[in-house]
Amino acid sequence: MDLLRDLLDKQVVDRRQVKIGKVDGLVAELRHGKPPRIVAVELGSITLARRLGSRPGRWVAWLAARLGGERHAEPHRIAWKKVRNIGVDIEVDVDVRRTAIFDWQDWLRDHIIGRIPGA
Amino acid sequence: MASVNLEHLAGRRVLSLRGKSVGHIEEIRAERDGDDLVVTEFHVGIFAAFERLSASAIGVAMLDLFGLRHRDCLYRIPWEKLDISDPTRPRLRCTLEQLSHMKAGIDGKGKAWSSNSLRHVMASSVWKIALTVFLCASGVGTVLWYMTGAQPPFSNQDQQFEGPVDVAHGELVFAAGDCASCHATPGQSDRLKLGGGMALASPFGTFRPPNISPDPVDGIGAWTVTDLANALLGGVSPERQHYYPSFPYTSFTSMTAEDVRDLHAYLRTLPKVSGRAPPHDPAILFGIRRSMGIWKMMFFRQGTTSARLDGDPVHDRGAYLVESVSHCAECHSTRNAFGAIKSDTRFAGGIDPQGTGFVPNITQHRLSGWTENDIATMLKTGETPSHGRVGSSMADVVTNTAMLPDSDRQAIARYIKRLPPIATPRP
Amino acid sequence: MKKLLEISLGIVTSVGGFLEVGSMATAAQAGATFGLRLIWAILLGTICIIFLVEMAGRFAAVSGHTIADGIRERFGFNTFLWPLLATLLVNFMVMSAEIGGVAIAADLATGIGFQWWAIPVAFLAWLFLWKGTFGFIEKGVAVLGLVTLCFVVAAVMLKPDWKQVAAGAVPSLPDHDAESYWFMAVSILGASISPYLFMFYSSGAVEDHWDKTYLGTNRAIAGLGMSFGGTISVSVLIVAALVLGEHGVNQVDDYHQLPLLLIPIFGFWGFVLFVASLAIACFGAALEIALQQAYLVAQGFGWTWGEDRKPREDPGFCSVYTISLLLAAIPIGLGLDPLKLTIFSMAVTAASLPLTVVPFLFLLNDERYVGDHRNGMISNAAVIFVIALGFVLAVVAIPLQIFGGS
Repeated sequence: MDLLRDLLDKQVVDRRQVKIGKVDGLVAELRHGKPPRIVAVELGSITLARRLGSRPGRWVAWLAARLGGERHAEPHRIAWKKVRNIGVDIEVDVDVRRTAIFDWQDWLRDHIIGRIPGA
Repeated sequence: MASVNLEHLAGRRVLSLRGKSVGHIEEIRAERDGDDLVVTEFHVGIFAAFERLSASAIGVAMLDLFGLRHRDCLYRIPWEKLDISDPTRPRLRCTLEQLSHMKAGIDGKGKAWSSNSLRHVMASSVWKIALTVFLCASGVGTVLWYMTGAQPPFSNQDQQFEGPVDVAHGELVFAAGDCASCHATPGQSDRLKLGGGMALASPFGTFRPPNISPDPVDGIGAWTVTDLANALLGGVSPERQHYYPSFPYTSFTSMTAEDVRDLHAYLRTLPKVSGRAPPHDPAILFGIRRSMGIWKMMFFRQGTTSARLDGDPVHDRGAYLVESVSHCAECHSTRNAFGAIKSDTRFAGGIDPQGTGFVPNITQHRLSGWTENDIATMLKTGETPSHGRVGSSMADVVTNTAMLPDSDRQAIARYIKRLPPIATPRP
Repeated sequence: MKKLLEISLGIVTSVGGFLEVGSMATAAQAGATFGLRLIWAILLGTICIIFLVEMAGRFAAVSGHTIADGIRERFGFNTFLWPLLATLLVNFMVMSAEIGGVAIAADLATGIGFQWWAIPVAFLAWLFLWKGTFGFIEKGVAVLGLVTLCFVVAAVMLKPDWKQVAAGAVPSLPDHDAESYWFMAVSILGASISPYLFMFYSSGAVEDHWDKTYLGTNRAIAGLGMSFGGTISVSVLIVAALVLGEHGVNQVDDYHQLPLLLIPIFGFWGFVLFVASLAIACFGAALEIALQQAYLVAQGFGWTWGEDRKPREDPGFCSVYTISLLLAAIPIGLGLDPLKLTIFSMAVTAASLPLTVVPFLFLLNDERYVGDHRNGMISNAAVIFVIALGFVLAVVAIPLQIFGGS
């Protein structure tokens, strides 16, 4: 498999086919005498910002920590063993409601969108 | 164990042991190892990028087109030969010599290129794409070449330039056209010695009006009336080159055939001056004369004029002089980024293209206090109604307009007086 | 039968999407200033957009991806950021112009200054998106958009010299005001080849669950729909050339001159028809662009997207169109002349084309996405042509913008 072509930047869907983000980053573990092993995919704005450079990365990480607290100071990771299927979308065996990925969407819903009539 | 973010490797430059750049990482290949997915190879070089974009056929065709294909286009580096502990600074763990064994590419015999499907794609569509690109490029090129060519608009058999000539009238045309201001040899007082060579600075380079004395070698003594007509009305030289629009053929283009004929006759009576003007020194893009073909396509319409006629013969005579022969708008307007007159600033003044100040607005926006007679007097004596004198290049112009009959100055004045007011553009 | 219905609905939809304040304003200005000479620019733009829309639809139908998805996947996030930002910016300006268009229509109808209408119009558009479904918006607004056909009727009733119309279809050089001629041509091309049109089309195809069986439908909709849209634009130009020219208006610099287009033909009803056409066409376009902004962001970052979901289920998506509409209403609310903004944004659109069109060359030739339905020679040549055109426009549009536009 070609990681950059077939994995990075692809759509990630959770167990219930909810679109939860793109594969923004890939984490590999370096091992002595053995090839690096993929251990997780990363999602979220911090990972994306880090791809643009170390400075944007630091800013966004700081901002995320300020707004979201400790839980959001690091990018969201989904362990590689949760990846079930790699096709048009990357399907992961996770329920997005049990992760912090959509915390900001929940906040938006609870504090703004949900309060507008007709939502 | 340490972990790294692989996405940082994408597009990263790989350095050799000695710190020399090998190329950019374009792809990371991984394979299943039991339940794990492990990294096996890093692909470096532009072919790897093509492969990732599924654009090998187009990419190779493009490289070939520019003769850029060489052997360093694809390295497949095994995982153990690349140190990625700092993914922003990947380094080779082996020497470049060892690396040369990992080269894969199309080396003429085509054996090292491993992907079968790729070869298939190349064989089936590379010539199609190359042909399409070639046809498009040559089509566009041919059309451009054709469209930018300098075609002299009149042939030597053209009847309209034949017939009796009036040298005295030609002298008036010469004065009205203000030819001497640019073409007289600088550094001497005789305005009829037309050796050329004055430097006209502009944002597009420095242009030097040529020798237009009747000298057959250095001047235009060998020109026929048609040659002169092609130059004045078409902006094309007898050598079939475009003139730069610093020569105001954009205005002259609406001159009558009769005036061209008489002017030609008059020019032949002037003293011969030998020696040529130094060459133009145009800005970089304009160094190619053909680029003027594009400029003319955009901004030059042969035979047209911006003159507004209203049936009053004095006014309409003024329109002809102001807009065509005396080319007043060429200085008294602001020009756009390509050096063409912005039509909505015609006569409203603007920055002097020579960079020596501001050319006044001569529409009623500024001249509303001047009467027709004031304008006519200024053209004869150089005196303005406020008892001042016009200066700089306008003084040269007045030297010439002073030689016109009173009726022509009156005509110019009437046309100028009836120009609609336009606010002076802010620089 | 069902296919036939689908095709005709699709055609109606794309007509609605095609005609907006940009094409109306540029066509009217071009007609007034240069008569029938700029028809070729509309034709050229229409042909280009037919190809791009067909490709966007084919890509979506075969691969299940939208164009935005494809760009990010193939080129990576860092490259994707450029077309993303460019399109967001261009869309913002065009959406502002569309809101301005509706506001002008309201101004003409009521006499209350257009800037007071910016916020109400944006609010109404937001309400449609908030409560409506994709089908409702796409089809409802589009059917109303058929009122713009009155321009075609008007053009035919004016009995133009068809020989001259045909002559205008051949590119020609200007005989006066060269720089505004080229600027006009650039703006017309920008109005016809809008990135939001093909981006929206590919999102719509995914929203409507297109698959490979829709390829024929796609081709028919792209070809016929865009041609009809182009026909209406040409009609606007013809009407402007004949009517405005006759009334001595050869420079449309004030939108109050615009209703004059239809009044000589239809009398008072001409005024009503014009106001209705302008309002509906611009309102539809504003809705589509607001949606497109949300699609683009959601697709770029991989959020859930879809207009059929309730706002509560999709807060991120809804926030994007809410904020976009609000921001776009601001320039008009501050009194920025919508007509100037329109012409300006059309030229910027044209200049931004290479960023969004270059990816087509790769995506539509990639077997992994489109399999056997790869671009043929003609389509590839068309893409290359649009890219080249875009580059030229980018080089020409920006200086003209500064020096020849106003």
